[in-house]
Amino acid sequence: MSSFARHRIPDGSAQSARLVPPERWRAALRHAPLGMILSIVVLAVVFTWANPRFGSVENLQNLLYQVAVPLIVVVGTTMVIQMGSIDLSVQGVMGASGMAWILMSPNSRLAVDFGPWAWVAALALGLGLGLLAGIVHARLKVPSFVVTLGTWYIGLGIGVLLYGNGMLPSLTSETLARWPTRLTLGVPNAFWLAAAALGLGLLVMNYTRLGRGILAIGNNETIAGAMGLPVASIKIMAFAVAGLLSALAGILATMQLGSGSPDIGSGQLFTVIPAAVIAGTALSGGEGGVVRSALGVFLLILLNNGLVLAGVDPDFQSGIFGAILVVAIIAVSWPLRGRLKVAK
Amino acid sequence: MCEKTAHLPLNRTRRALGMTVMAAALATGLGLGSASAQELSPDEWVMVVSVINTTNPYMISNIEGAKALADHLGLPLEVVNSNNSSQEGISNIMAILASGRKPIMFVNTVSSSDAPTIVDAVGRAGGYVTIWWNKPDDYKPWNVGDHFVAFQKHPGVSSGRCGAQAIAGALDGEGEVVLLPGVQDSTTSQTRVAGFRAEIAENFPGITILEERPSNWDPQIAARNAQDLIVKYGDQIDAVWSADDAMQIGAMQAFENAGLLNQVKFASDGLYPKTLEDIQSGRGNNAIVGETFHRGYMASAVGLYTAYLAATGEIVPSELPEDKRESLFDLSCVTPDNIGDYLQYDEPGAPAAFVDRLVESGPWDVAPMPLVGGGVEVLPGS
Amino acid sequence: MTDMHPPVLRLSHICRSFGPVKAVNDVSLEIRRGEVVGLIGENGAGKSTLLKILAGIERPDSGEMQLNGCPVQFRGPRDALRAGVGVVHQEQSLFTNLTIAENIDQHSSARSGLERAGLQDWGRINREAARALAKIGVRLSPTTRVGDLSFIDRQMVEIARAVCIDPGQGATPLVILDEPTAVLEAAETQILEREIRKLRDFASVIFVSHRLDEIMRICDRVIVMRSGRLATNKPISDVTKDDLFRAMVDGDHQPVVRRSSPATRTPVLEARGLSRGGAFSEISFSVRPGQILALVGSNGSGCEALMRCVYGAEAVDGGQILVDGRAVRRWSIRKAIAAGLAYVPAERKTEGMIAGLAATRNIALTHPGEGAAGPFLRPGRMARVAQGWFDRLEVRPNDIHAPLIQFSGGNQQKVVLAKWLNAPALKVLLLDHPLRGLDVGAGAIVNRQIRAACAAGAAVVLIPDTIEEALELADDILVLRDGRHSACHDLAGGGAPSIQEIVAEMV
Repeated sequence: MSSFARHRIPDGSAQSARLVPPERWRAALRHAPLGMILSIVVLAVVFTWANPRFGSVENLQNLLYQVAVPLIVVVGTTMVIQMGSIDLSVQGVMGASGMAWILMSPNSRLAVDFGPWAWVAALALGLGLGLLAGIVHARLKVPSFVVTLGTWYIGLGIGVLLYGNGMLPSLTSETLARWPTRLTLGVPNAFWLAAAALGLGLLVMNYTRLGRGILAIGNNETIAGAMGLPVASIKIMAFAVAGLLSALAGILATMQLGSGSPDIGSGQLFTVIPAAVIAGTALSGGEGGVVRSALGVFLLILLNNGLVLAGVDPDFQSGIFGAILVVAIIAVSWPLRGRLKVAK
Repeated sequence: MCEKTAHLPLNRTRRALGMTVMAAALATGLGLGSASAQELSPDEWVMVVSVINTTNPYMISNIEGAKALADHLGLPLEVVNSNNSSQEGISNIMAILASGRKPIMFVNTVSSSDAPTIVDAVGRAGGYVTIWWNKPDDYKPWNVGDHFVAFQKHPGVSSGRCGAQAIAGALDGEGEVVLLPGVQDSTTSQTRVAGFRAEIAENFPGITILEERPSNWDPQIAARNAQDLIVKYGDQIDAVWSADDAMQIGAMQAFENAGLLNQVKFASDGLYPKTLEDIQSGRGNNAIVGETFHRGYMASAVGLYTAYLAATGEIVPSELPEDKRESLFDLSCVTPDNIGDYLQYDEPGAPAAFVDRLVESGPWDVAPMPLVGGGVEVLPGS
Repeated sequence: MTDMHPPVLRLSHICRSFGPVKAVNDVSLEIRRGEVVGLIGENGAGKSTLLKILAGIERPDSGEMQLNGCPVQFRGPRDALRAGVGVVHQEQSLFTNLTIAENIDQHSSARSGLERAGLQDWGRINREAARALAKIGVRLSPTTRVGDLSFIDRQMVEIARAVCIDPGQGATPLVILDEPTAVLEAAETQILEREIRKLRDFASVIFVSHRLDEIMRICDRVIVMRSGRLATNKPISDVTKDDLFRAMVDGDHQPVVRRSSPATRTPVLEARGLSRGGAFSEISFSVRPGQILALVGSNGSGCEALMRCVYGAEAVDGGQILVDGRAVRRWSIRKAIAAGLAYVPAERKTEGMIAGLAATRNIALTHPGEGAAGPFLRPGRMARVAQGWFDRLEVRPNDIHAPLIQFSGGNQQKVVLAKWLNAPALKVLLLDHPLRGLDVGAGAIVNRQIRAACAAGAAVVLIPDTIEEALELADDILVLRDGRHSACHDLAGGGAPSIQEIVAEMV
């Protein structure tokens, strides 16, 4: 015999990945976003210390209300990023769908009310833009970065056309305008909507062939193709779902603001993509998850809210925001740092 | 100090016609040449309106004013959308300049530092440009040349003072206010905030400013900041001043959601249609107490017309006094009481009517925005 | 024994050309039930193409393929899988972010009602994966993420995936193992060998390897390919290692001669009491110019971590590194390179090279030498330097401007080595499994370069794939066990220990 032996002679019990319960726990913990949760807890404690109102029920409701729109968006964005693609179109889709929705709901510009059909039309618009991006990306093999940049502007263009030169359309229905703030079981409806989107995201990613296919493609698209996965269809579906969720976020944002604007999604892209990345969703695909990204959104919103409540001078706010964020990111990525690991 | 420019020697490269026109202008005391308006050929000249984006109502209004003037003067119009990016704005302008026609241009600059690049390019293309709102303070038209016809804006300080007076009046001189400035390093926002603070400091000692939270001209950020401030100060807040109406719309929604709209007063700048509607309907127990009135179409029409006059030779920029090259135009304080006076300017066809009056009375003397001063806006107390 | 069944696989006159190159040229062979057939050949001999044809990735230009007596034509990998051909790829083809069960399920075509509705039927998937794992006698939890598994376990998953297919009544699955041992530690290889023997009971196996002794141990029959043709197809009992070697390279095997002991000089690199939490502790060694030191230990003994620490790629918790007798503070990769150290990592593709960059640029990466002047590159000189190395190392294809990813593993390794040999003042060569995944020919060239570097005065620290490799190359062997110093042998001075002795020191 001329090969290496091993101190545990192989008899079937010596293989290295026998997962006895403690190890299984460790494996589960390894994939849990502990750094993220720790960062949020530490920030919450510090902010409460700085201003006790931070921890008040009122502020928690405020936070949940503010987090709702980016949370809905980030679910779709994360799915696309996990697939190894990217969706830049969120702001455009939000603008188009938000405008479509408000113009079909009771508003100050047009005397119409299509009721639920406003929702259907606005969501269909988002779905359509997502489908368009997905089809061009998957079938014509155009990089998603470019395609969704295109659909961003298409969406914005639709929003501007709908906006026209006329009056700013504002919601005239008190019921609709108040719906996002109204509390159900102590939590704003806006957040319930976001929670539903998050639930949908979890369901898709964990319990559907689509979700698992997204992960497989994100891990290795070549193998996924060789294994006979319908790569193109999965990609198209993923972008469609992302478009749908952006549209939902556009409707909610419009409702929250009480009036329509093609710019309703303004700034969301640079909330959700950093949130996803901070939370450990690799832009190269395959890793991370919607829950992590949701925590990332929480972190960003909470940080901003906390700084305002702590009364940080506006001149310093951006700088302090960045500094805390860097520290939080270090905490988040601490468990992931590895030898010679290349960070990009 | 700046050198005098009104008596520059006449040895600049001028065409004979220009000389004649200038002589006429001198004769009429630097006013407008009355009858010698030279028709500009639509094949040779093009009007250009360059805006920061096409989603903001103010920018849309800029475009409307340019359209009205271009129609009136029979010149073609090109619209440049900068998409909120200096780079994109500049390259789009370059593309139009490359078409060969001479531009008569109005530019609402994305940031101050864009102005020199754009002005130089227009000069090389043989055109004339008026810059609105943003330019570097020490970049003077008279140091650049006749192609940089003028820089124009409404004074931000007056806007802030209008808001402060309205709020102080509504609160009877006693109360606590939060401020929502725009983009923090924008001159427009800074001058408005300075005007507000100065007015309060000088005349209303009973008003306390609790906090200011820059909200990037964005209604949603304003709404978010307003929510955070509500949590922080609760019903301590008596009034909210925003640097423009877009942010006020967001802030009002936040207070309405918190059930506080009826107890809080608001003042801002711009009198957006939505704001007008809210004032007229008395929303939130007459929550809006003060506004300023100016319109994007007026700014673009005045700016373009000034450049047009330079192009025809009816005015010679180097002969103009400094306040007509670095100009401040009047801004009207609007309250729920006098709002009726301003409704006419939002009627359909108002831009065309304004253009008619503009062409009749010249760029510096047209209601409701006559020239009121010049130079770099001086911040009170600085 | 006489076999009533048709052969599991029958290839008749299979040909496949790429342009003028006949990658597979008139290959005919049969594989019977329960047979383990070794397939060997140098890089470029046509093995990979043949395997791709069997796996449905490539289609033959001509010839016929029969599985279990029925002619088949694969239009894609899925067809091959359905027909009962499972491939365990050389480059692992598992989704590391999915669970074991999902990876196994990728092959199966069973679909429940839930799945027709687009949902993931975890119950069915986990049940079937558990069944497949049990079939090959592996106890892994189907819900574990593949990314958390060791290489051997990942291979078990691949094998389970290959055998979980049910090609139909009475038919036998064909499992193709494409260089499975290339990435495995020795102990893991033993596990794999045991698994392969078990597979005999219900499957036929094609086993591809570069290691002739493995082939001799595991296989019933061996097929040697050379230049696209079958060079040898014989029962294993009828051949010797030398026969196989000659059949592969079509030339004579030149065993390497042991070098004489290097002159005793001061150590160029010395490690004193190096420790790293969880990896190794209190390890000391030194190397003199011209000396080859082998670090030997089983998986988890800390050899790899030790080498990475010596290179500065990982921080040590304690101990000192001395270069030319002087202790260096805050050791780092940059200091290591400045001190003349070179490191050929085991993870060649991810750590040793920039795959998308041309070979020239890869060679000039660390030590551009005359390929650069100040901050500027000099492409002409760079190309000349690269061409020099290509000629000396016989890199194929001889195209210095091709991106490195397009080269085969052996040729990539040559380029990686050239990058370091290009160093103007190479003092210490750290080699982590330098021959991993290399065929015999490429291995010989790499070994020759290692010796040449030694002769030129460089010291070498080597982590070999096998103990034989250590005994063949090294002057000294340092044996580690569980991160601690176990034994040290001076081969030149004290005579060579036997393999059994070293194994005993390892466990």
